[in-house]
Amino acid sequence: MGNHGGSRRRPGVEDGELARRWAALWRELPRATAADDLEGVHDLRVASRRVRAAMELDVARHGKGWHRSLRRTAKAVTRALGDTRDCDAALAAFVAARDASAPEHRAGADRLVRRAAANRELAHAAMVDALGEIMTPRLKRKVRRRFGLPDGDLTAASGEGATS
Amino acid sequence: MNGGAASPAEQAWARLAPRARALLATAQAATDPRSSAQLHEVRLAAKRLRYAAEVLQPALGEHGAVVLAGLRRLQFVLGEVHDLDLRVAIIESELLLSQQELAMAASRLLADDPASEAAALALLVKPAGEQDPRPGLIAVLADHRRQRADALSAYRLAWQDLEAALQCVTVPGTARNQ
Repeated sequence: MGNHGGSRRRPGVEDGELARRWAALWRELPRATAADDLEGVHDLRVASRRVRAAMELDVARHGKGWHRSLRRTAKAVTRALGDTRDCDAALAAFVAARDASAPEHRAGADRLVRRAAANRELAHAAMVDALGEIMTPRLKRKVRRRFGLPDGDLTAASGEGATS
Repeated sequence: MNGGAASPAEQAWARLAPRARALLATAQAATDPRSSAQLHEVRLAAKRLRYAAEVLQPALGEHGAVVLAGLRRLQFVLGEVHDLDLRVAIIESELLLSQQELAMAASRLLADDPASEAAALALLVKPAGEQDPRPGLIAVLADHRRQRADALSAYRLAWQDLEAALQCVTVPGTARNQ
């Protein structure tokens, strides 16, 4: 299980809970990096926020430094997904607006859909690159070592370090 | 707290209190409803509190469920405002680009025939049939402005309810101990 060392001070968050929250990131990763799974991006972003919240609450147990690099990593995941999530929402809204538009408004609505789709493609490519740099086999080993996560929980869905 | 050991519920609420105070302060500082940046800060503060509350939920009791429901509602309406603001920026940008394209077309028209001033002006001010994107862009923009006003009203209502619930989190000896 986790590396508590001699630093236990106050109740924090159970290692099992932290492990489950980290495992959720790898579980959601393949869907988030798939080209057309809008919910996958949202779900991975939520998972990254949840693991951050759990680690922030766990500061009471281990002190600030213990989680610092992993908290930064989880925050980087949240950030990496932000633009794609915004583009997904914009594209869906503009497609709906186009489908409901009058013929004399169609050209403008089409233009917005094309712009949003182009933005989304760029954002998604940047996101896949960023996640590939963040969610590495090294990170996986670190999370496994720290929270005592069984191999299967981290590898079942994604394979070592896979991001697409 | 009563001087003795704090109950699990008291400990949980005490851990949430700084995030609740941060949200209250951020929301009270967000005085300009047109400011996307201010409302975005409120949304981030609400997320921090919400995800922390979810971790501690089993210890928070009934009032925890009330606070969490309020936070989800607030986050949803602020998410709407955020998305609408981003889309408005895209629509404005496309409107500007389409005006620039028409200005260039007017300039090319005048290059071919310097006497065609009236036609060049008409190109800029009158919709040029179904291929002109501007009427559609204006229609979508108007719809987004209406939606934003509605979302802002929903935010005010959501905040009113949540603010009352959060007072119990930040003021000792109230509902947080239930």
